[in-house]
Amino acid sequence: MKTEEFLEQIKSYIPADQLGSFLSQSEALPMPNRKLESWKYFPTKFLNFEKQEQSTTLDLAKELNRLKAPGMDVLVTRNGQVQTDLSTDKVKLKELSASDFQLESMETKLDVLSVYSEGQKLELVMQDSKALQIIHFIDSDKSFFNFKLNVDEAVELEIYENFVAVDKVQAHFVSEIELKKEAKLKYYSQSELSSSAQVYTHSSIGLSEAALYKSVVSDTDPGKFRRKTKVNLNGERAHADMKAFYLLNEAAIVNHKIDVNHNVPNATSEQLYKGILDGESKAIFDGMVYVAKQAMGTDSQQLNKSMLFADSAEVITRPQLEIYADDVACAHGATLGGFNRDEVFYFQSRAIPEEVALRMLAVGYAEEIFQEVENKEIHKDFLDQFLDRFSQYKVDIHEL
Amino acid sequence: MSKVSSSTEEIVNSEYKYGFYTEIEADEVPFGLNEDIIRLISAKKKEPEWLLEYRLKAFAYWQKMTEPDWAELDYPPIDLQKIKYYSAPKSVSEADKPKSLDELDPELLATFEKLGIPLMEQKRISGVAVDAVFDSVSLGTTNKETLDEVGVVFCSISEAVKDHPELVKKYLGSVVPYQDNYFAALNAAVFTDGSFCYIPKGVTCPLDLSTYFRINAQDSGQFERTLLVADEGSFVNYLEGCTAPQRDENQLHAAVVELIALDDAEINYSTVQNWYAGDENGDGGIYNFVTKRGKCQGKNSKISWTQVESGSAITWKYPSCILQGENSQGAFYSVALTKDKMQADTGTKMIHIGKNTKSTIISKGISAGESKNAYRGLVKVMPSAHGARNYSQCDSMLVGDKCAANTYPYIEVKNKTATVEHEASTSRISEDQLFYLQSRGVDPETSISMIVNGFCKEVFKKLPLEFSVEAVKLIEMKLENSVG
Amino acid sequence: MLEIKDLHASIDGKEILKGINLSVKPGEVHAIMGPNGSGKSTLSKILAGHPSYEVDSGSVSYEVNFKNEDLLELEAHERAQKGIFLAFQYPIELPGVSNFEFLKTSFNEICKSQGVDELDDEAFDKFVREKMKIVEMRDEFLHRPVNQGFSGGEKKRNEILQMAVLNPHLSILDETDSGLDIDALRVISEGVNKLKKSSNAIILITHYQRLLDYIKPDYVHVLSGGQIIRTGDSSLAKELEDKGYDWIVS
Repeated sequence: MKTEEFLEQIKSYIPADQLGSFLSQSEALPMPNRKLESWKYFPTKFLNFEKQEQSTTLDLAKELNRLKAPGMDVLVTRNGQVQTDLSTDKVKLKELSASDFQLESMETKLDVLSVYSEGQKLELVMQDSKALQIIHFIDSDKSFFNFKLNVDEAVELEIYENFVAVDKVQAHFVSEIELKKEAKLKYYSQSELSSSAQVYTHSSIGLSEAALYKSVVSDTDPGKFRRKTKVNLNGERAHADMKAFYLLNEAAIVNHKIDVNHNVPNATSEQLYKGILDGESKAIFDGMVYVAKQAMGTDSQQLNKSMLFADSAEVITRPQLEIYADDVACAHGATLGGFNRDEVFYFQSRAIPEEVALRMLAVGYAEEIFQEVENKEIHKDFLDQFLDRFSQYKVDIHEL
Repeated sequence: MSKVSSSTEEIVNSEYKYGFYTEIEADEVPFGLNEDIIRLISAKKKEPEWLLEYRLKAFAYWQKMTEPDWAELDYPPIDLQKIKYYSAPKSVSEADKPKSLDELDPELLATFEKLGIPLMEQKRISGVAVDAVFDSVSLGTTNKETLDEVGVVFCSISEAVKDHPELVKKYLGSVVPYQDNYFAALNAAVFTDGSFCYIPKGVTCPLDLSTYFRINAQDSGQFERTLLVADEGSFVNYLEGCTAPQRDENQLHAAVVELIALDDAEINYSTVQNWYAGDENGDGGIYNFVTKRGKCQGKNSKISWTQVESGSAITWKYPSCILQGENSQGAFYSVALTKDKMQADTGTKMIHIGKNTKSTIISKGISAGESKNAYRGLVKVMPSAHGARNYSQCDSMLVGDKCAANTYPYIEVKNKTATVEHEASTSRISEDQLFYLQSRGVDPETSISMIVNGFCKEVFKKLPLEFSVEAVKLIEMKLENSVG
Repeated sequence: MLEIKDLHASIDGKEILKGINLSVKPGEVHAIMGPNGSGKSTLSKILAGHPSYEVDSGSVSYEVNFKNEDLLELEAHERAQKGIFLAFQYPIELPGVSNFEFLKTSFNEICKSQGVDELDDEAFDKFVREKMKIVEMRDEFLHRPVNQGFSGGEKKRNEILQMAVLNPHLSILDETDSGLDIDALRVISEGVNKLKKSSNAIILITHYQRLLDYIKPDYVHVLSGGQIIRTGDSSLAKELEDKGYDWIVS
């Protein structure tokens, strides 16, 4: 969309006292457009800031009941505002302002928008809680939500973030997480988006010495989801382990934009992103691994695997490496292809007919990611949602 | 810093033995690029009207374009008006072109002999037919008689325009139209010479064909154009070699190579690139911007690109294959060595259009010194490409901590029956490997050569024999003292 | 039980089996030995029904439950349902598919085809743990993905576990001993011996004599150049070990 249009329309979402700061911060930045490498494939036509009439309203209490994960505190937001009556009070919320956010890697005006908008800006203080489920309900037009989280030295936390969005809504989320020395964060996320909903997340995670960040994300109902993640390995022996799965149908689009920066020696990272696409869906894997000159002893592995179930679906995969240090072990790979004859034959030789074999292989394909979820209930959530959506898909061996 | 990389601190100017200049009277056009210059070049070459029109159309289109800057390359802007677009030895001007190579100006003959490509009858390399191009003009072709016997046409493009206009008209620009990119448009407007080759139906070309480009004149750019057509069932090995004098200023090389393979035909195109890369401070050196594309038009056709890049201050080339014919196969094998302040952004594009097409990409990058070596490749599978198969392997080896190895693959797939596998890894010359070789009595420098050689072996295997020997020597020489 | 008559087979247009004749009766153990490339693996894959291999001519008849079946007419999973079992030389890894799921589905498919009641999770769990004892396999392997991260020996052991669970009539063990150390070899061989019955039969495909010290064959066949060139008893295997394949092939 055109810059002038955009600047006019977003005025409805930015408080008057923030408008000036937003304009000055974003002045030099372009609008998302095809010419930018990271926006080359994700359609910008859906980005529109006109006010919309909303038709669907979610029954939060009912949805909460369905989604609540046992043994976790819960924070509920609706359209970018925390619903204190539905959230547990174990997690303290501290009000922040736009300047509290680092806002690294600003590429477009859109990246700057959320923290200056009317959406809440909070710090989650988790002294009394070790496991938090954050559920974002989005049933109105445009919404924005921003949070920061510091995980203290040697603390272990589990966060489960869910996104539920109805028709035609558009939501932006910014999160900045700092892991202090030896901190461990297990992050899980799922989405339930109507096909015309758009969600843009912009997360950055900084790891100090020996910190661990493990994330497992599954989007089996994603609408149009652009997940932008930046991981900065700032301490030796820090480790980032990122796994994701996407199951796309109809006109769903998932764009994983990932930047993993090895800024110091002896940090390690691994990424495994897998997906199945049907209908006219599109998956874009845009993953950069950057190894700085001083980052000797880096070990980084990245793999993206996709399977197409329809010719009208499309996969674009761009694993990228930028390496400036020589004493490193870095590898990446991308594959696309169906199940092969030998795999299916193994099942058949054990009396399992082809259709059943293919189904088991497909579930196994997703389970390779889901089994990384260390929380039994959340693992079951992931598997259940997948099985439910997947029952509509037909599995073939795609051979000629 | 590790023991291995600490030795990179020793920088030695490894001698570029082709850095000499040939003193010879040249026929040139004034500096600059405008419609008049183009008409002048066309007139000097006595070209037919249709070709002049083609040039002018391309020029008009080019004027509306802007130079691309998406590659990661860092170079001062090239002033295209400060280049001479035509320079040919007077003795070879159209007016009194010698009938045979033996009659060439002795200076020219001596030049090529010094380059290892003797043109005179008795001294010719058998097994290879060489078309020698000096600045903007082709000097002639060796071993032509053997080719004439089987109907293989191998001559300069200028000659082909006169002797085989139907073929040139049919295929010129069919694979790289001038609208394709900035340098292709520029080339279409000002290309001076290059090779034209046509292999008739069912013929296995009896000799390897080779074009040797020698840039000599100062301030000139070389804009050659090569067009190679392999008719049904034919086979040809083509070798491209190029060198240039050592200079302080940069020179531009913007070439276009088009290959067309019809049903059951096979073309193997190899390049061992040894341009002058500039000195250790990055001054001088060739800017190499090339558009090379092969179209596997026919069923079961095959085109493979094999390249060893070790020269060139800046390399920007993506030899590509358009896999249109059913069962066609495209391959790209590359070794790119950068050192000192060189920059390379190279890779390939494999476009799968027809059924059951297959592509293989093996790219090995070695960066040393303060160089930047980037692989940029595209594998695109169109919805019509049922059963497409691609395998890509991109490996980088870094020597020292001042260089960079970057890998940027783009994989776009729109067909569910396609299988694509891409792998990339980085490695370094490990102390363990070095120690093992040294413990068997091999000195450090040779050890490194052996390891690098092993790293590149898969690619070297694909080169025709003479070239593979040269390639190995070339890499050794380039690595000399820049690795410890 | 198994009658192979003049079997010719090829893969990718290249003929590998050039007229195999073999007769296997219940209660028998047959060893098929031969140099590399002789067609041993091809034979096993053909019997199991791998689609990449083509049968050019010949017949294979298989008797089960007093009924004669034309084996080549049956699809791979049907052959398995009727009691044919192939232990692969290179068992494939199935990430995300648990050993338990795989074994249970396989077992229940066979039950279904024979009109027998299937087992539910609990019952199957009990059942399979008993079988795991036969191959001395630790419980933790049960819920791991099939063969993923397993060592060579563990993969082979997993194959024999499957054999124990599925109780086949005709087992074909394709180079089960390759890559195994002494202990693994012992465990696997003991497992196979425990599963041997007078009503079932075993075809051992092997390159080395060693396995046959543990599992005693009734017949030893030498396969070379796509044909069985010699048949003898277990002493033939010893002769081969002393003299090598060249002796017999020349």
